Amino acid sequence: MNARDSAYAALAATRPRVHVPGNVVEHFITRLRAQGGQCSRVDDEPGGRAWIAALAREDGSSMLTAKDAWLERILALPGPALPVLRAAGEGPVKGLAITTAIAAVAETGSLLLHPRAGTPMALNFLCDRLVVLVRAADVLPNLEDLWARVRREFGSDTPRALSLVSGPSSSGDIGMQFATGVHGPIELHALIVSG
Amino acid sequence: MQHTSEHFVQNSRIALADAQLKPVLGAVTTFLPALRQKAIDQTPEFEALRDYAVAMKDHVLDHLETYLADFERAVQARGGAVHHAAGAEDLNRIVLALCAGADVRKVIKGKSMVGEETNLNDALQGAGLEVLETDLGEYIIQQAGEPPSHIIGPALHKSKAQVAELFRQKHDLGERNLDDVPQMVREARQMLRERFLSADAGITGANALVAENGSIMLVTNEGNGDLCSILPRLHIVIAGIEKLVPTVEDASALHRVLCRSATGQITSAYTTFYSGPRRAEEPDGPVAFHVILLDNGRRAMRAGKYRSMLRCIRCGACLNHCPVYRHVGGHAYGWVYPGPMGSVLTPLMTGLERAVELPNACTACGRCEETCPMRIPLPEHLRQLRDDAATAGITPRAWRLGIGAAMTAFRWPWLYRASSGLARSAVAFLGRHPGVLRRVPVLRGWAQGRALPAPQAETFMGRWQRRQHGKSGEHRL
Ligand code: SF4
Repeated sequence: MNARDSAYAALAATRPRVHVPGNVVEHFITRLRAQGGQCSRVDDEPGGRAWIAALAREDGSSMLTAKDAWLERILALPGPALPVLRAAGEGPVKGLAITTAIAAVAETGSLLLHPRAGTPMALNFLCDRLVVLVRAADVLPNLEDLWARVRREFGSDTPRALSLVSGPSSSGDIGMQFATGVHGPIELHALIVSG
Repeated sequence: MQHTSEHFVQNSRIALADAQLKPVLGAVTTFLPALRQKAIDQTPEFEALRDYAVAMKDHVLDHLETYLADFERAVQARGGAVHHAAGAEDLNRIVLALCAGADVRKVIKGKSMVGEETNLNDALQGAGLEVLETDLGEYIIQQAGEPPSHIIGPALHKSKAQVAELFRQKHDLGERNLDDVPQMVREARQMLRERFLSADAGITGANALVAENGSIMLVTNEGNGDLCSILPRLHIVIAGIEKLVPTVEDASALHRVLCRSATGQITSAYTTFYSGPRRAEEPDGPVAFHVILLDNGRRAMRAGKYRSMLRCIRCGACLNHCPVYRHVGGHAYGWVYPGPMGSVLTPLMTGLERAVELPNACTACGRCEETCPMRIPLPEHLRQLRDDAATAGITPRAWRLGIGAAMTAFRWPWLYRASSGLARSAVAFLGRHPGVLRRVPVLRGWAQGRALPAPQAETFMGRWQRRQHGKSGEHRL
């Protein structure tokens, strides 16, 4: 180890963490809601399937779906009829879109999204309502845990984009008044799936 | 933007006379500090987070060149390219060459202070390119043809009514209403969406450059920076060399203090780490990824007594807490960076001679240093700049004479006592006869709406001597 790297190692050992009190999932929900996001919890995958069907019925438009094995499995479960599903990448991105996050962070109420084969990143930023599914077990306490998870999952070959989404697109640029849907999603829903 | 820092006093007069600006600035400098305080109150670790951010940045500055080399190698390993710009014109030239090489006609931009620093929009437009700012605040000022007034909220000087009026002038509204802020936001969304989808190149800044993996951290609440990074076929990142951090954990460490200090948020809505162009299996993303690193006086700063200024993360907290900024706003400072941080950076980047009034636009109250998450000794740097100006003989003559007179008085206690006694009587007289001041031409404006406070019955020195009377003689003046 050279002098720079040993100085850095000593420094990095002092990096403080932000303490997340109480239940990690509860903390995540509180944070995301405080940032203008919406959050729901279901007990299992069939519950997730039912929740998605209800939201899609209420929305009324076709639903754009990310290419993701877990999501596809949930959508293929028996249950009430789903609206027309459009695979992301077919036609323009608008209306309701649904994707998954490999992890979430309670400290900041963030969902980690990354580009995947067959799913445009634009889906996360151009739709009007974005639903992100995340497993309860993947909600991590703080950002240090997130980066440890990313390193474990991808090694040094991290994805080209790692996006922490922590609320709907918003701005306070006009009269310092909070408004959502400036460019990206007007609504952000996190659906936490237990079990 | 046009550089008018040499007219700070004149600019300030105009700002002070602007009745529309006063309530807006009052709201900005009350609301944002309150939000910051609330976020800090929710974060018991805040002081420790600050300490780490400072130590980490200092470490990077100690090893800047080797971290830069690591970053460059990592970007290249992921298929991107790094360019080095010594000055503003170099950066603009590199951007133009990249655009020309990729047959770019339409450019969309995320908010970038470096872009403001180099006057990039003018250079691009001068070369016949169509440039659109996509951050809502930047979009508003671009439509208004104005420079930014705040580094976080470039259009914060504009009231809701002024923005509605601007959109009415610039957009073909048809039946659409602009009665409230959500409607104005929808209006901008609609106007910008089409432009996002048809752009050839996206230019963004970076809140951090990560040496370990060649990624850039982009922080926004709107998501516009992400759209600039994903949709066009060319992504150009422009950033100062001081934005380097060793690892992603360090980028997050900075992010924690940035969001709390800038807008009182625990986090921004979008924080994305981008590295390299799209991969074969990905359906979108740029086909080319370029990072341009700007020096523009930064290496010189690193080598001298202003080195700590390179810790600045452009959070804007020092502006929001500055009593001078509160009254004159950002435009009075006459260049890209306003407030206390601007009063240090502008002379260092554009020359002390052009900005000698800025380091003097300070009450030495110390609130900027107290609030700066990176613990930059801003009042000390401002004092050093005043010192530099005096040494270089560029302090205005009237100020030199005034300071010379004060120094003479300090050197001769009897003279000081006599003149302060005289001044006390004069102030007492003027306090009792407020009409007199309002008749003095140069003081008329100042005296309007203000009354001189009645001075104390005796001077500090008189009181000190009375208190010391009877005590040991060694403390007597
Ligand atoms: S000087 Fe400090 S407070 Fe001011 S913008 Fe920079 S980091 Fe923020």
